[in-house]
Amino acid sequence: MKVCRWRWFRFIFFAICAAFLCSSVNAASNVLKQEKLTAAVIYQISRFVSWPESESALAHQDDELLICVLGKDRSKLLPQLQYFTSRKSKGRSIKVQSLKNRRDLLAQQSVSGGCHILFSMNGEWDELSDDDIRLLRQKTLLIGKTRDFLKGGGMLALIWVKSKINIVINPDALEGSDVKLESRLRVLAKTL
Amino acid sequence: MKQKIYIFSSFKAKLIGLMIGVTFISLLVSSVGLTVVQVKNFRDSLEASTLSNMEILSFNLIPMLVFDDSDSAQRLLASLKTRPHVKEAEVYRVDELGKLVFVARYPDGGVHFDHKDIREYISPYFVDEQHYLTYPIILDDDTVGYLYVYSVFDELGEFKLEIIVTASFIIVMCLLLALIIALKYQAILLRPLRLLVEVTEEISLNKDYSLRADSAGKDEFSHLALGFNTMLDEIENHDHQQRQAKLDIRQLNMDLEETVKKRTIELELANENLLATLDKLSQSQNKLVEQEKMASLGGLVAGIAHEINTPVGIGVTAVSHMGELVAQLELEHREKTLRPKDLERFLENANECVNITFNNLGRAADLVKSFKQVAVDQSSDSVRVIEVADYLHEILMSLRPQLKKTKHNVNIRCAPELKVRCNAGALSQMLTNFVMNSIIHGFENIEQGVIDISIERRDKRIFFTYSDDGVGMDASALSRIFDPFYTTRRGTGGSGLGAHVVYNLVTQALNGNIVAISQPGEGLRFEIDFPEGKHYVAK
Repeated sequence: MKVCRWRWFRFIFFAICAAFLCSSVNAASNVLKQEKLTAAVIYQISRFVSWPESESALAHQDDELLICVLGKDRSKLLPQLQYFTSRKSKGRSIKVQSLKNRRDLLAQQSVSGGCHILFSMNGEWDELSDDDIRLLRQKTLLIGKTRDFLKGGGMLALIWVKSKINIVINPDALEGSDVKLESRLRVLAKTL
Repeated sequence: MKQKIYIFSSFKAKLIGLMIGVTFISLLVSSVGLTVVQVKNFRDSLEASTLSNMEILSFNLIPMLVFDDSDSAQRLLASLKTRPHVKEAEVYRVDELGKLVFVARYPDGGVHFDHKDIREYISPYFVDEQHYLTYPIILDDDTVGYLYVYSVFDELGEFKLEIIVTASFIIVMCLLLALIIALKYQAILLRPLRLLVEVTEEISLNKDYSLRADSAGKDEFSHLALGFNTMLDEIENHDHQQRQAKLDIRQLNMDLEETVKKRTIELELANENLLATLDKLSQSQNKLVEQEKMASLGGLVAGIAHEINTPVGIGVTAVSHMGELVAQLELEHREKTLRPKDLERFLENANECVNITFNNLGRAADLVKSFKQVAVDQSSDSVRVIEVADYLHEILMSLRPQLKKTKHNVNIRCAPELKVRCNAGALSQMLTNFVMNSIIHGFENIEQGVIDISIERRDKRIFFTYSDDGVGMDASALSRIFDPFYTTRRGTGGSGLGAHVVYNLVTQALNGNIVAISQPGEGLRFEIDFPEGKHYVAK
């Protein structure tokens, strides 16, 4: 009788472990899909955006388009973005760079025109002051993941709703920027 | 029977027909050309407008395809309501594998058509008023999708109808105008021609070549009238000359008829004279031939007479000597001096004289017998059966007086039993003439010649061959050997009728054929054949 209980206990234990492992794997898979789609949307958005040529280091056709990821990349977006470096956006090569914190960002902005697209992970955005954001959005398209990001001065957010990405824009932030979204993209986007 | 009606039989009708035809063709060609150009331009403008709209639509569709927003694409396609000729539109996205993925269609809610491949319509395709077009949606040199539009341009059909009606109306009006102008102008244009035709008809009807066409003016018709008048001058002149010539010819004909009559009478007279002369000539020729035959017979008679003279003379001498012996015997008998020895000598001499006389008289009798038969045959045309070999020997016997003066040899080859029913006189005359010709002409300056005579029967015909090895004759003389009066010894006794007589005897009396063969120095050969027996028919 004792032996039977032990077996039953062991079966339940393995079943719980298997369920936990499956859910973990499934969750990891979903995250990977989301980041892949996010990377693709960022890339596609870059094809409908125009930057001021004089200030954004895109004066020449062979100048690269720099996509920066701010914050800790826990969900592994960078590798997904790296995939698109083999493609071109409006005839330009794409370069991806990771920025860990505000200091790296400001350093990057000070040299060679800075980032053209900045994708902010959750958490790091809050470290930026209003002046930093005002300065950034002059020549950088600021993309985040939440409505709060937009409320905090972000220009465009990729918000997941029912396994689909909704593009939401902050018109005020876009109005005050030299970075212009094409109208045909705006048709698809929702407004904050 | 149907009769063809020629609408354009007159020049007037042809002229009007030409003007109308040219006008119609010109108008038709230009109208068709303009219609085609106008329709093409209109169609191009419709197509360009469609393309322009599709370009705008495609531009706006790009983010919807990129972000796979079919709802937005559907809303955008709904804007095609403003273009009523667009009956159907579809948007497709190109996936990562290059396959087409349906995104949206217009009108919304309609049935989605299964196309083979809408990319077939990337080059616009027009069928009447239906237009198919697929527009590639391109972003940064990448084809991200396709927009397919099916339109029906009703206005294109209306435009075609309108332009055809207008062109037809213009053509009809222009043709009417051309007809009116042609009718008016042809009367003016053809007036000189009509006058010219009237003049020609008048001339043709009345043969009055003094008429002239009106050549006033400087156009082509006045040149034609001038040329026509010049031709009339020549015709009038020619007509005058022709009339004169006819009169001359008539006079000449009359003179000629008179002359012909005179000449005909003269010719008839001459003809009669000629016929009489010819008759005389024929008679003379026959007479000459007959004389020749008679002369030959006379020669034969003379020879025979000479030949008979010798035995008869010997006989006479023997009889005369016999008479003297008888007188001597009678005297000795009367004087009784007759001795037995004298009687024996008398008997011996008398016997010798009798023998001599008998032999010579017998010889003369043979000659006469031979001559008698030959002479009778030659002087008559009797047909009888002869023994050929004997008869040939008799003929040669009659020719002996001529042959014995020479050393010529005559060889006869003939079957002894051969009997032939024929004109014997002709055969005799023929052989006599051949032998005499050989002696006189063939063996001239030849001391000893050879004459070969052969006669045989083959297939109910008699083949007679006579040849000598004399001097022969050349081709020219040979070709004339049978001509009457042809001789190489005229003035020395030759009459030129010997061979001619032979030719007539063979061809007429014997009803046969004769061929003479000779070459100079190789003698002369005659080959004769004639029918025998009951097949023989004397002419």
